[in-house]
Amino acid sequence: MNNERYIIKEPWYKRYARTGSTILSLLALCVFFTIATPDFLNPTNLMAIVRASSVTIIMTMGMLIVILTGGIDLSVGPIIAVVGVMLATMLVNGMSPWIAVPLALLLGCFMGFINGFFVSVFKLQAFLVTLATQTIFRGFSLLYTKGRPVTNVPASFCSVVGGKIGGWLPVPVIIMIVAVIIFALVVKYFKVGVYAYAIGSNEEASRLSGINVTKYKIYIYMISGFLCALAAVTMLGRLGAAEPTAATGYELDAISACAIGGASLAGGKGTVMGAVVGALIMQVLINGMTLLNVQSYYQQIVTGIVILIAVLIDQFTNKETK
Amino acid sequence: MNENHEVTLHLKNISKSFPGVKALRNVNLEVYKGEVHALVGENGAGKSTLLNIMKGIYMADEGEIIYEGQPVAIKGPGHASKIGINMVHQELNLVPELTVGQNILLGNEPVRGGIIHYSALYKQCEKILRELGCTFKATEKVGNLSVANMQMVAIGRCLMHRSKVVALDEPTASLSENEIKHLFAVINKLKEAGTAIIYVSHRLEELFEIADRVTVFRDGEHIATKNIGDVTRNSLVELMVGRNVSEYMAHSNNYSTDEEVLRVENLTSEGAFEKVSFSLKKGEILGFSGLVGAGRTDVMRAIFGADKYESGEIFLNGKKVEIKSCEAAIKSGIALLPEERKAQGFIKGMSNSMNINISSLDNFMKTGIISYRKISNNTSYYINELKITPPNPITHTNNLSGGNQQKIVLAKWMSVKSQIIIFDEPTRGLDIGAKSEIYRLMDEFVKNGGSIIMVSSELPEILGMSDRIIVMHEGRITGMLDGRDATEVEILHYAMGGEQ
Repeated sequence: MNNERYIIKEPWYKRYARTGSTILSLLALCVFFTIATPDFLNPTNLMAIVRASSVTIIMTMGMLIVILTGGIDLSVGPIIAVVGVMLATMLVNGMSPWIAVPLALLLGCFMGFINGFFVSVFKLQAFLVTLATQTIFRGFSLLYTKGRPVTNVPASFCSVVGGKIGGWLPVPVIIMIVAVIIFALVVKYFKVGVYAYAIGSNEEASRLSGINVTKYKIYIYMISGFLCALAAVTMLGRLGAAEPTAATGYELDAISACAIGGASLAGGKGTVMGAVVGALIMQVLINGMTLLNVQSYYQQIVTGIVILIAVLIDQFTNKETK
Repeated sequence: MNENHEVTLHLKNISKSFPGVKALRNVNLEVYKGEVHALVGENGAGKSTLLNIMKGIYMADEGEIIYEGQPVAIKGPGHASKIGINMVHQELNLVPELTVGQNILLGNEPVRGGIIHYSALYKQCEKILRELGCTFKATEKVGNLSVANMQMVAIGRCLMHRSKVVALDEPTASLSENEIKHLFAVINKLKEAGTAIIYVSHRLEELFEIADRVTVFRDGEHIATKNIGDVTRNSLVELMVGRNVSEYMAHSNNYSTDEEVLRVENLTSEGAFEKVSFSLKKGEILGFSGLVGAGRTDVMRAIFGADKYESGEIFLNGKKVEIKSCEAAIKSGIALLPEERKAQGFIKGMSNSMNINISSLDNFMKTGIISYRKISNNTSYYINELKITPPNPITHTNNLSGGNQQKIVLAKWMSVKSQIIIFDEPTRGLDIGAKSEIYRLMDEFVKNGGSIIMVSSELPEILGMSDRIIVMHEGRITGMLDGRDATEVEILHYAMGGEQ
């Protein structure tokens, strides 16, 4: 039997149409703001945008892999808060960051494990499980700190994690870029990534294909928890203090970024690139409108409209392929 | 029976095609006022299609419906109900969370001042329940009722609509003896009131008890309509079968060896199957025949680890195994091509390449990292080997034809080097060309030392492909036949619950 390869290439522009159009939208937005305000296209401002979105992007990737399975994680904000206050407390009490940070990341994994455990072992709906844990984790962070922020985090930690390399490249941005690259590779080259798509496309067929759905779903929520913890570390480095009420509403930012990037809440569809660009679009919008002195109330309305447009585009492009 | 033969419903010269299949060819069905008219035929003979046309769910391509002497165009299920044509589906279509009264009067609730008038509703409903001789209350939640009582609620709904035609689809499938007696009493009452009843059943014995006339369908054609007194059980079976074993079957040699690869002993899962025991030899194609709902798929899912079973033992190559998940089954060399290809066989949003390799990723990894080069090689190999068209690894499997989808699923199982492949209705919905391709691949698989269990409701397929045939009826094995000497009549005898 000849083993000659038959490969009919799908045109590249079709394959990457959705992510490509998200990138184009981002560029179009940048062009618009560049024309509208001279302050936009300025290295300091651009770096500020990337820096401001690094926490969101790190967290959005966790949300993406959960959404790929057809699930959702509403507890990302409170996980960040809990990890933030715990890590800050450890550092304030003089623990070495080399121990405290890995512990913080483990804590994030553990909280993700709790979500994954209830979602996959008891087959509860992810929305409801993470709605409950959202409240529980938030309550815990308030209880732990008695509602007060943890301050006086050692400068040795903040100056490194919150600092800049060469005086211009913020460390949070480096953390974010490294995380994005590793995460993209995990999604493509590790079973957990491929299985996330499979489970989200058809859980039953995945199970019948021999995928241990229960196990991999737990892993996936743990990845989300881990990335939240990483976001918390980054945030603490930048702010130097941990609020028990930090990251309120972040879950919606992450979901919005995924949706703008073309992920489907039904599962099985979405790309890392899309989600990252989706998060950047939201940040560029806010930054640009602020520069244009648009009232923050209008900003919210515009962000909402952008999400609606993204979802509408998906609806119509999906119909074409059917 | 009404002697002057007043025709309530006449489905005249009805034809209906689906893409690739002619489901009905110029069939006729006349139902008299006050008769029980049985409709029988194998799976796929066209009974359901005809009932769906009568109910307005499908539109006929040709032919007309004459109802009470007038041609009518039935616009949809709601319209059919309104003019008095109703059907009790096998699945009953009730809302379990609502009460009996709410179900029976669903969409016809008595209203007072814009608000549902519940006391009137329940009063009306109680009357219907009394007519049916039911003892449960109208305020009972349907979900708490037994299946038999749920069926009464569904029939009650037909009564509510003052139906002149009621079709019952496999009404006794899940009823006990006593419940059947009650059902028949209700049917007789309806009959006396002048209702025309169409009765679809696979249980031929009960037709002699309840039916007045019987119509036989085969392959979408009307074969005969007879008075029940003029037929016997065997003559009915002969009318239902009577096809030639097709020539396109590829399995002419028997590659079975004496080596036993799988033995199942007393496998039981309450409500699905009971004490199922059989063995499978290396190189054998073992056919599983029976009617829809005989429990064949349930047995296979249990062996594959997709469903749990209560008791019984499974031996693989002589060793006792406990298969707790599909993952474990696949690891021990068992694979299943499910009947529901699209819902369970492959993953809709994924490419051919991913669907072929999804179960065997472990073989294509280096230190935990997936090697796309190895995956691509494997994909090309199977695309060539199984002649999958279009031969494109990145096309979504969902966009392929049914036959090629089935080949993708097969490639998936060949990639994990399965020794035993269970094919559940391997050629359902495929055309002749695709069927013969699948048969050829099955033949090749056993020739190379694999073993196959084939669940099929198509008798020619069972007869043409199987080395041995097991027949199931209501969760039990009722017959075991040699593939070469078996006849359709023999198989149907066991499939309908006949004794050895």
